[in-house]
Amino acid sequence: MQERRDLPPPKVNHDLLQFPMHTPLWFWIAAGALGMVVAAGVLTFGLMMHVGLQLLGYTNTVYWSVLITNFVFWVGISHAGVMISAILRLTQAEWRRPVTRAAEVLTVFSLATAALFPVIHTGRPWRLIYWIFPYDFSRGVWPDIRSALVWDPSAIFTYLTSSTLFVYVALIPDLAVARDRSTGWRRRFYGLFAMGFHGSKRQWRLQAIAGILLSALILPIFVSVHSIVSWDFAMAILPGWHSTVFPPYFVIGAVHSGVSAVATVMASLRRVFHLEDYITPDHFDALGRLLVAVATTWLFFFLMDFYFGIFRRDPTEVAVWQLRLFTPPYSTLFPIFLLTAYVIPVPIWLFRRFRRNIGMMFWTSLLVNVGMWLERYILIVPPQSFKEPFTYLWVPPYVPQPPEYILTLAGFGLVSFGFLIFAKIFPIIPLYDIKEGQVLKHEIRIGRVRVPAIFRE
Amino acid sequence: MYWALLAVAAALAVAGLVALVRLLVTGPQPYARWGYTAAVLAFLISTFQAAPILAFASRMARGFWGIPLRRAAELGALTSLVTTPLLIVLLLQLPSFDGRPSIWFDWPGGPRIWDALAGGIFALVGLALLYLSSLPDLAAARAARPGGLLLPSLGWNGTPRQWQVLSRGVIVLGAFYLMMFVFVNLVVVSDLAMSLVPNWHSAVIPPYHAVSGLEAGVATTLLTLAALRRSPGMQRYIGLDPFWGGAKLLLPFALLFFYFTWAELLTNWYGRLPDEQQVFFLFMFGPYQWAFMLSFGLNFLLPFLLLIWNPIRVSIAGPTAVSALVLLGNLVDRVRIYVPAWSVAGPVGQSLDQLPPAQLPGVEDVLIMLGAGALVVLLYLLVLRSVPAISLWEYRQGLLLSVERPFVRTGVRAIAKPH
Repeated sequence: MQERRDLPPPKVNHDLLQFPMHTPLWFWIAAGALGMVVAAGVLTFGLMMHVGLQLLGYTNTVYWSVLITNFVFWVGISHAGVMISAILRLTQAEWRRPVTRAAEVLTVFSLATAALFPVIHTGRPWRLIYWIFPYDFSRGVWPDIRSALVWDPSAIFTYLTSSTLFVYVALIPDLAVARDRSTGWRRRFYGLFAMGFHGSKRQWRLQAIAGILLSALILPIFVSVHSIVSWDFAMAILPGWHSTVFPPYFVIGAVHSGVSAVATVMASLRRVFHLEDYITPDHFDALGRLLVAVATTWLFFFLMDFYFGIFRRDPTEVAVWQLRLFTPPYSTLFPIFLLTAYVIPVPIWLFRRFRRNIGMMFWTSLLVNVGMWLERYILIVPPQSFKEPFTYLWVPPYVPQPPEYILTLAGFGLVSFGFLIFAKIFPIIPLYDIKEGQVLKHEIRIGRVRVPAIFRE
Repeated sequence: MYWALLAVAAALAVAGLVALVRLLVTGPQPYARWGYTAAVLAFLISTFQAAPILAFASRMARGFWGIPLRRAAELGALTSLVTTPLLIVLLLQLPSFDGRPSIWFDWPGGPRIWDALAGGIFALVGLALLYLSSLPDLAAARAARPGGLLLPSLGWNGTPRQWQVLSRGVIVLGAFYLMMFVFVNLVVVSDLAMSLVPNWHSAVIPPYHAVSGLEAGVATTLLTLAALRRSPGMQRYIGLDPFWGGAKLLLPFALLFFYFTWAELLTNWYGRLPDEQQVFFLFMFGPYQWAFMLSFGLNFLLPFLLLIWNPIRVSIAGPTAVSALVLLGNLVDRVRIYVPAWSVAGPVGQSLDQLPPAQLPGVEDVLIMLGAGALVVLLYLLVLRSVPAISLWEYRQGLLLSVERPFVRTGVRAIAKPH
């Protein structure tokens, strides 16, 4: 990194433990507002269970819609943690240090939120018990283990468990620091979770090995989760969904969406917690460069899906793409999706001065996720809207209803609320990682110039 | 040794050329005769022509481990002098595209003119990249050996402006080369394979072709480097680092090979659509099952099982051996894709009810395959007379930017990261 700031350990401890140790007034206001959004979602869900799914805009053919879009969207965001943390840790990218924890925490909360949406979507969530324990033996109804819909919960819960473990392992040294700098119930609380960490050589070694092993082990899970989500669609023979490119297309889309979300979160954290010494324009520069590569790869996969959808000129496939491109409301949503997910942000990120402009990075990364939400909506809904042979012509078009908007908003509220609470209790930037970066930084003199350098094992 | 290699490569290249001319004079039909020629074209594009991307990637990531392999990787661009004419020859043999599925739809000139143009641009970009990155070394070589048979260095004398143009140029050209590589893989696999097979519209095939090509590109570079290392005095410059770094890349590429294969297999397996099943059996579990299994083993299974072990990864022999496996695997994979595709190429609208038996290579096929490979080797050997095998300017830069320093009670390497 170019911007070398001297951050002595006491300053790091003071700056990064300030929010967990002291509660400003704005925290209560923000938590209260977000809590109300979540409560509105809970109430809507309750009403939906009481009245039934007719509150939503489902039609005879379209019943995977906004709620499933939310599910895919949040699973996508959850890929931020692994992309940033595990891959950058394994590749020893120096700029990862202040970014990792926020990305990992975003993974955990967005994944937990994603898992809620299929449950809400069922309309009768208590019946999920039959999937877990199909006790109704007499009727011989069993979950079909060959279905991607059954693989999904397994993959998501494995990812959720491993991501939580990933966050926790990286948190232990910081918990020990928080324990040593607090009193009363806080000291007992942090002490309990720090599990007696006191920085011995053996403990550090185990902590480092665990981090590397978890990074490597979590990668296949990370790929499998969104691949399995994509197979929910691709294994169906519905035109517009049945495509062999869906698994990598979904995974790279998730990375695009997740890394953009990290950029948005980092810009917000920097402003809210005054972390200018820790999150610098250099970090946004690096995130921007990564995003150019990820977004362009995503665009390639999107084009593959499009081209080979219409490649053999199958009338049904062509009709699905005509619906997506030329029929309202999709004809309006499609250009918005493409503009916000790629055409506007990527050319901006090509310029260094824009990548280093934090406001610009905040808005462009936010735009990407508007586009990526729309991408999932356009991917999921139109193929079901297409009138298959033998379906009735009077099927009305699908129009999302207010409860679907409220539940979508509640999803954002829940992730933000969880993130805020986490940041209140635990340091959102890893103290030990920042200190390690300080120890490893160096300079090399070349002629009359001193060039920033880093020690490598 | 050098002259003996040169003579053998030249003889094989001439034999391959004669075999190609014999094939040409008898006309395009039956199309099945062109399967192995198409396979070797795709193999060369996937292996040697993928190699310069490794140089670009290591420059972008400012990976010091990659410095000794950059020139060896960029020499892969020379392959375009073989593949571009071969691509044009094959495009002229294609059956009519009227009514045939194609990424060009009904654009005038598609696929022949556009594919040839794509191949030509790809070749030009690659050669420009190789030439640009060699300029400082060519100038140094001219200064050291005035009057020698050398390529012109375009008045290079190392002004700050020239260095600035060079450092930006290799990145811009490298990025453009990567995009052209992906695009050329797309057009080659879609027009020379997918369009020929009824009902083959698997969208994952072009990315699969590119990713398996990148895996083979890394393997080709490591094998080239291992060969260069055997030259006198080169062991000082080509150490463990590039092999170790290359092995770290081969492992994820092997996993990606598995992932893309799995994505296609599982989606088709569960889709159970009759027309997809026929394509599925043609390429994976029908007459070419042996090729599919062999390709899977050589591109994924064996590299994965070998490279997960630290002692193998952190060695010179280990990654070299794995690279040889991957290169063979890529050849088998390209045979698996192109030979069956050309064997069923025929009128539009036919079905695949009857799968043709596996087609083994004839003498002409073997000569063309060997000849094309030998011609590439010949070009490497000739160019290495003018251009140093190691990028000298980057090597010197690496020496300045990477130093051993004491750290606590040990010594570690400090790596500078200038803007």
